[in-house]
Amino acid sequence: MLVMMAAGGTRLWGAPASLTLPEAAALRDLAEIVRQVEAGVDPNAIAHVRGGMVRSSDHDMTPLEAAVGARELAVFELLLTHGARLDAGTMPALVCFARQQDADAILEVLTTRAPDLVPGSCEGIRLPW
Amino acid sequence: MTRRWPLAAVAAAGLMATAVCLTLLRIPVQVTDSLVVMLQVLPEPSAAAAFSTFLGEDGFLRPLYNAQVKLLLDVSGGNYYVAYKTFHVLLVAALFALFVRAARVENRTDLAAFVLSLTVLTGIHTFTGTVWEAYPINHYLQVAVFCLGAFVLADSRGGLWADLLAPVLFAAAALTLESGLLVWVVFVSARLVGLRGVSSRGVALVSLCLIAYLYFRFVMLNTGSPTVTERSTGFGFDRLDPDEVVARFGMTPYALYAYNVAVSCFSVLLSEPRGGTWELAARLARGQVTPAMMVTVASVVTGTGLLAWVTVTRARLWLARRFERVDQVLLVFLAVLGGNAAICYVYTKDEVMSTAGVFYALAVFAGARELLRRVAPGPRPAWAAMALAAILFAGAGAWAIRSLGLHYHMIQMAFSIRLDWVGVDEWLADQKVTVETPEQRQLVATLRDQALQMPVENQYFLPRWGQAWFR
Repeated sequence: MLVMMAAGGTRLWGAPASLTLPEAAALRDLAEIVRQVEAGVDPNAIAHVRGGMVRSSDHDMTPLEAAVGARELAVFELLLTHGARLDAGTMPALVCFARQQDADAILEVLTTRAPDLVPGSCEGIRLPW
Repeated sequence: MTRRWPLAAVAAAGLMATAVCLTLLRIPVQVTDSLVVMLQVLPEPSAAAAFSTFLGEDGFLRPLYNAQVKLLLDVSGGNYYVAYKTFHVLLVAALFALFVRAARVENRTDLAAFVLSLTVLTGIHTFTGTVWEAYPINHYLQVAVFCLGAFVLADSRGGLWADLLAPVLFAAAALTLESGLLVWVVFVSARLVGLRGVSSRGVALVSLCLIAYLYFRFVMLNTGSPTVTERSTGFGFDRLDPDEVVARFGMTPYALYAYNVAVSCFSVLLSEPRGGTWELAARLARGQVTPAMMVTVASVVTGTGLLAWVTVTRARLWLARRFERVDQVLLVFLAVLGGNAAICYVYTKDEVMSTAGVFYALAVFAGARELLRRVAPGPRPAWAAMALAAILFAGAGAWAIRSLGLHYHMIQMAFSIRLDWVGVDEWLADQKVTVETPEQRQLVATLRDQALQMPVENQYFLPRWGQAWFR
């Protein structure tokens, strides 16, 4: 019985898995997001997200895109207060991606914060998937 | 008596304690229940000053707890996590060491019962709060250690040192937390069932200390007791906020008091209700049956079933005041259970019942040992032996699963606690706590940094089956 306990416990005690910033965003790990940003990780950089976290397959995306993909409004807002940019370069893709993902709450934040940058059409805009 | 079996018991307890401590060390110092206390004691010039300042709190008398929080703040040198977690680990180690001493393993049969009791100790839901919560010093764990220490003292060969140590133990426990009064219950009940380590003079001395405590608290300081308006509590299938309690029961809700005392006892014996709320029954009524429920039922049937069997088979001897070891342990447990439940009269929480939970594990050890010694070796049909083995195996397995669940829940809590530090400023504002001095700001910032820097497992990586199996 003790051996079973120790074996099961050891798996639980293993070193925590490391996350990229977009992965932390997808998994709603607000503390990890803050830690990484304060440690100097670029909150706008594209990084890898393992399959199963947002979709079944692997993807490369920004932290904001990961938050949209996971429909995590709190994460999205946290990223904005920690240096993630909403500008002419990022807005169209984020708005279109939010529409695609039915992330209505995030879409509302986007359209409220930068209504001038909301694209009329999503044609030709590159999305994570 | 060979030393092999006692040493094996120490090794088993050491393994379990190490496992608990390793998981405990992965949890940051928490925001809720801990930070405000630390901010309050920080301006005090010394631990002694904190002790005297917190003599006059409304409804509570915990000056030694506040003094300890201050002392650890001062000696931490800014590394608060190390200071508080080291103290927590020492408390866990003390609990397991005293548990080994209280069990007194002598042979192979005892060891088998002891290993089962270790899974009960760590698997019972009342234990969880003693290791994942901080406060930042877990006073419930401290009281459990004090009470187990009192039992070991009462079970010792005794002498002047035991009689002198007994009131010191009581005073330390009582001034740390109200549940510390249970130390008196342990000394008195142990004496009544024939444990003579603390003499009648020593027990009288502890009783005098109790009277002095009550006079000091209720007459001199007029501290009073907590009221129903301070916390929410479970009732039936729901949780009631203080306003709802007052609306339903009034300001002196004797029916609620009786309910709280009764369900606190059930909570230890039946692992249900939790915090006064009958969750398992409610789920069953909705037709939601999970593996965790089966595990709970199997563990309760084994653990409390053993105690019921001992009670039924030995009650006549109790009435004749003939007590053997198993009777002594079980009767002290019942006294602690009653006393602990009485303390929960205003509101009931699982962790408040943690001392009774520790003694429950000790009683299960005594019951299992009795069963293995008396029943197992006798001649009986093969089917009966197999049935007994199957019941014990299922019960032991269920407790092992619950014990493993402790680690699962602690890792979940680590994630949640680390998350709390992200919004610490908003939380402090909600609590109407103003961080005024540079030292206080530094304390919050340092604790926040230490929490964020801790590698904590995201719940995504925890096994999915844990949700179904661990409750």
